[in-house]
Amino acid sequence: MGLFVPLALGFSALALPIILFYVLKLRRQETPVSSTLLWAQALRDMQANAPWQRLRRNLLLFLQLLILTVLVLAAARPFFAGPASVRGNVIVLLDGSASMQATDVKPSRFEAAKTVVSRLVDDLGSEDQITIVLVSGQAEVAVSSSREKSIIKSALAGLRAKNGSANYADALALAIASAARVPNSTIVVVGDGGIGNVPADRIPVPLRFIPVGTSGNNAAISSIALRDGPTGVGLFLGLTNYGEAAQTGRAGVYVDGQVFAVRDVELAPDAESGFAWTDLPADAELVQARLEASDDLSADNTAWALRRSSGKIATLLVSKGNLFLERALNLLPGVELSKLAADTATIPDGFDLYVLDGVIPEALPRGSVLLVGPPQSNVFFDVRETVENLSVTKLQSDDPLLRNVDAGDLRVARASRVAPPAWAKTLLQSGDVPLLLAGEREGRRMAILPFDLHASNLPLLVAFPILTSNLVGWLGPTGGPGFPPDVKPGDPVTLGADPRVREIEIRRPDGSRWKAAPVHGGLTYAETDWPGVYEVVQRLDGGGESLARFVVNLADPQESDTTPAKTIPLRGEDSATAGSDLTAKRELWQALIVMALGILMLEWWVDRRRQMRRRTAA
Amino acid sequence: MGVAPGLLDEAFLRKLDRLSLITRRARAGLMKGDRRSTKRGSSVEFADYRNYAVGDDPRQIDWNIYARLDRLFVKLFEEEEEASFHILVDASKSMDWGRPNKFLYARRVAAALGYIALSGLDRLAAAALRGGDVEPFPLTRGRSQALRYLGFLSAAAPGGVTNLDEALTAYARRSRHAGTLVLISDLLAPAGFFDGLRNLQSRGYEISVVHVLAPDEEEPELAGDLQLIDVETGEAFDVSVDANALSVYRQRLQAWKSEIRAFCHGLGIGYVPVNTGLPFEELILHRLRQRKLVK
Repeated sequence: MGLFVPLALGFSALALPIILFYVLKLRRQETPVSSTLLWAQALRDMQANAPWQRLRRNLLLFLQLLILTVLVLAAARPFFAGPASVRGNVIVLLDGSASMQATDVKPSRFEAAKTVVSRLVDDLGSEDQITIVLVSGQAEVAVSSSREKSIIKSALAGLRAKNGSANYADALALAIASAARVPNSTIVVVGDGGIGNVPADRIPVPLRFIPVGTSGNNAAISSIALRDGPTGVGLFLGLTNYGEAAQTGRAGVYVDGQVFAVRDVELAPDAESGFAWTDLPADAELVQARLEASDDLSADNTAWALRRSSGKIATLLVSKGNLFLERALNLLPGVELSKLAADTATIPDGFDLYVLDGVIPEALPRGSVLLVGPPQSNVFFDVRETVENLSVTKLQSDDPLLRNVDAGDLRVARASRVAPPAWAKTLLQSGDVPLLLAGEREGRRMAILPFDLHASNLPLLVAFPILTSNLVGWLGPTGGPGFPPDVKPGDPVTLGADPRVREIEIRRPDGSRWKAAPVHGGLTYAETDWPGVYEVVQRLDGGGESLARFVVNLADPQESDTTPAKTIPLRGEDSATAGSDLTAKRELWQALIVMALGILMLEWWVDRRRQMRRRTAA
Repeated sequence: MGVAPGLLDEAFLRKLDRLSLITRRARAGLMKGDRRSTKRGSSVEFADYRNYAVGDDPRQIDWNIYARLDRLFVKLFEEEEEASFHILVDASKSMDWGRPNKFLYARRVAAALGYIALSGLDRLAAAALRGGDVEPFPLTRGRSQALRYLGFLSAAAPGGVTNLDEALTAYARRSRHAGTLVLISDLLAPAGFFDGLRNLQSRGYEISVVHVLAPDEEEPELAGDLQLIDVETGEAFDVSVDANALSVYRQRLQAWKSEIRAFCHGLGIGYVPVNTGLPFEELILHRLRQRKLVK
């Protein structure tokens, strides 16, 4: 219960003039009677209960004051809050993202949201049906067009908030598709926002939003990075306070399970603060950072970082002699380089990565292959005519392999035209001539630079060592530098390019295990919802196993910023009206006006009756 | 009967005529034994004949008539000490009130009673009480005086402040022929009337009080904030009339009437409260007979 315009209560002062007018107005009507003898006696009797008498006598005044009270109340626009019921085919998008774990609403936003949905379910009529979609990294349908309240409730009770970010794009698409099938549909979004800008014209049914959450008091580890520096391993930690008040907390750094440093931190509101440690042990592998702060969301107060020092990439360079390549490979920290002359008959097995410069054997060795200027066709690709004077006209700059690679200046004097095979993507091309191809084929990662490095300016470009690093990182085996460094919760991880791997076992942060055999040497693992360290054990064909790790960090500004949204911004429509419709601040002024009219009529009737009586009495 | 000039309308007079017949017939049966027992043998003045009825004293039978007509008649004699019938009508301003009008109603009752009395060979005296004064209608007898009596009633005009006590005492003082007395009044007398009634009674009057109230005095149809003006005294009273006030008024009225009734009962005075809404034939024929005022 509340008032939109509390100031309007000041109109109550109008009661004074009403009372004043009433006192002034009270001119008695002269009425002759046969004798006042009895009236005089009756009047004496009435003096005894005069106060009550006066009140009753002033019924009109009372009614007028009542009208004033009701009108003043109406002017103050009172409202009461409460969920409004939804009818028909109800599609609930229940936000199950990480921010819903915030505890500004007890016990948590997600539990509060479940209570809201539960109430919606209670309000459903027998003909209404409900679909509940849990929105996190993916959109999961928890209840599909059900009318059975007990089933809906039990399904609802089983839902848990996840750590991913809310994928409203998928969820809305799902909801719109579902709403289009059934008439009289309503989409209800229950959550703390993060829905983005929804194009109103794309939503054919009423969209309602029930906001959950009260405040956005949260601090988070927004970034974590390990770097090898000149004095040792350095750790950079970015801490962000998303709240509106400054926070003090304590940042702890744990290296391979041991406490390394603890520091008191002071976090300015709505800003990121950077903290660095430069003297971590040289053999540090796993660094965990913890932020101890009194905030509403704890899932983003811990982050992990891995240092890829374990395992070298056994690399074999087969070349007629290419100083550029050799130097670039040697400079890479994770590469253990072996060389082989180009005219060797057989290429030995056992290397992780083969760099074939200007040669191509009958059968490609088992392992990843980087082909530089392949002289002839192979079962995997066709080499055609030679083309000259090429420059880059198109590049896939968003591909991880071209990260930080500025290949715009690349000039190639001569290159072989390689027909782009279906399994590979063309990352660089000049006209229709590919200059860099990469892809996976039969469990083997392969990259092709279809020109001799000496016939190009590539080795002279800044981009060359970076490109080499990216290529080796990608071509190298799982757990090597090419392993995904940092995974967002819920994001799938592609594991294993090594065809020798027979079985992959993943040990999750909570201790549970998951095993699978790779298909074509690769495997996609999607259950990365929980932040923490995931250990990947790869069992090889001939026995023996390798251990690799990856970490899942929440570090998502959208989720860590737990400031709850009150409305959904609708593109092309007034967002305020579209948003808080169902938060049900129901106004009462209409009812009050009707009530005032009713009392006014009553007052008129009472007055009229009195006049009639006077007239008949006269 | 002719039309009385001025006030009492023809319809009323016709009603009165019929009434007198009815009452005469009723009286014939009722009054016979009464008169005879008190006046037996004391009268010598012949008055009239009447059919013999079972129970009559056979000594009263006129045998000469029987011999001539072969029918039994009883001789009636004029009493020496005649019964006097006194009718006092309150003519104060407060009586000129109400629908039906109390004064008109009172005069009609007075007319009816007087007519019955005159036609019953009683002596009739009447008076209109105005203020402390008495406007008398002198003692008369015989039906022939009926018109004069009605004229007196018609001419009576209301006015002044009632002082019933004084008026009744004055009437008691001047009258030499005490008898049955009927006071027709609303009794709304600020100075009271109990002493006057006592004085009258001490003079030997056999009193009945016909208490006339208008319907709107018994059930006032008033509402709102009023200043009540007393038409008699001109006094003003501020009253806010609502359901509660009305109920208090009604209680007061009942208490007042109970007080009068108790007083009258104590002195053996007949008390007949009458609402002017009651048709006066009903009053004469039933109510007053119930109260033994008319026999």
